[in-house]
Amino acid sequence: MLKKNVSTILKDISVEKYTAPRFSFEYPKGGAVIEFEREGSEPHWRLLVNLEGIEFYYDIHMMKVDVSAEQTARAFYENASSASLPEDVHPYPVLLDSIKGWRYRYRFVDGVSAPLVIEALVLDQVVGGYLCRIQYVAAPEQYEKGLVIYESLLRTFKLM
Amino acid sequence: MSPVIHMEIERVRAGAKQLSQTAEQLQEGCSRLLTQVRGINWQGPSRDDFIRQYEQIVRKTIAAAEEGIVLGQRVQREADEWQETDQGGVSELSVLAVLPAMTFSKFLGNTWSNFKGIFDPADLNEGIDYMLSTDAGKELIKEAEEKNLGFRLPDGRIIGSKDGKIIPIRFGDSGEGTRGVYQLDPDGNAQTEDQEIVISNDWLTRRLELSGRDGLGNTLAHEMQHAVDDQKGLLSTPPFEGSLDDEAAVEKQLGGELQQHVATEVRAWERGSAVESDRAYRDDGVVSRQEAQDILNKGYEERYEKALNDSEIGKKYTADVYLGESGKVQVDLKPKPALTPISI
Repeated sequence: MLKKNVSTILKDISVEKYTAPRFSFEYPKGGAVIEFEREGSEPHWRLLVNLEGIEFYYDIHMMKVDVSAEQTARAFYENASSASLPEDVHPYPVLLDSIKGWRYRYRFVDGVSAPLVIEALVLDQVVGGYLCRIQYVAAPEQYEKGLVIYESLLRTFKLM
Repeated sequence: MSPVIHMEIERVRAGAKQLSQTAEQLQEGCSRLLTQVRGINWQGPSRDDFIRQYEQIVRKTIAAAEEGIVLGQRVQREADEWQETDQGGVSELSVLAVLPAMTFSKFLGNTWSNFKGIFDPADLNEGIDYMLSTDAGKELIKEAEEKNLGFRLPDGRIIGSKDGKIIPIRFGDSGEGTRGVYQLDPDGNAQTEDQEIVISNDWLTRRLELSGRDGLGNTLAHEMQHAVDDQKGLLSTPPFEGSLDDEAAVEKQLGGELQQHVATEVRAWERGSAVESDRAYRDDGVVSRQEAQDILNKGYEERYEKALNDSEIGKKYTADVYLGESGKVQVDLKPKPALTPISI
């Protein structure tokens, strides 16, 4: 559970800024950003943060698609394989400080191991032919703890 | 049995019928409302509490309706008995003992089967019988027999090879959110042959998702396909004997293992779907790019990444899983940077 307002938390911690060709965002000092080069595929960045001993990661996917952010978000959500669970949130429109998009959350279970919470925001704005998906994946018991970093990432994210 | 003074039989029966129809509508309503409530555009801790409370209400509603059905059955029996007694000329002792149940069963007919699932979900034998009535299900069992593989239901019934390896199937805790699971190594000891298939016994899952024979048949076929693939040796890869420092070798090994996992998921989803809709099972033996992407997009991509990042590999690297140009699953490892713990 978020015990404090996200903007209050952000004021309390030192941040750094990461700038890529098409976007920028702030993240807590002490974290790191990695860029993956996918063979013949779309670019992908990952923010890694160690929050009180637990490592969390947040992914930024640039996707070449010819459909809207809403359609993309719905496709990801509806394609999810899990049985429908109470925590699932169908895609809904959001307007944050500088971005607009479609946000959703669902539980994923592969039938063998622990389930995951997958939460994502697909931005409405198309940049250079790409749609941007900002995603947070966590084990359910760690989800609330790492959510604050995800919220801060969304609130400082800017497309260029 | 309470003494009956007066009964308008047709009206009583009409009332019982109405009760049946109401129960059916209740099932549909509960299912629809649950979907709508879960889809409310509201996110936050209070929402999750609200949804959980709402689920409890659905459970109570269904349980209450179930009690209503039992009452309806009693009324129906009373009506049957009243009619028999009223008609006279029939030995009360010999007929009343059997007639109520028979009449009730006939009276409800299809209506009962329509909403039976919510009060009396399909059992494993019903799911298996349905699966075996489909071509896709018969083919699956034939494949199992060819590999000397059989499946044992809780009542001792064996499907497939009776003399080969036997995998038990039971209802149990398959993991939150799952409908079923093929447990490769439940005891954690790779030397023991203890594989099993567990079908979810979660109260709501059984009533809303596994209530029908076709839905249950889908899940059974899905998990049995994994078992057949395992027996064929399609779920194992040679152990990695290289060094974790050899990034390229580790990436190649992991990519190969994940490709196998994706392939068995493709077959299992196809088998389950073919059984449920009673259509031909389609497998050309090749996992196409689209099939692999569909599996990764179901959340398996994130699942694989999380598993790798939480494993020994994750202490040294952070892993990205994706579908490469070749249509094969690729793993890209990046040395993990030093992170300074932060507190909030």
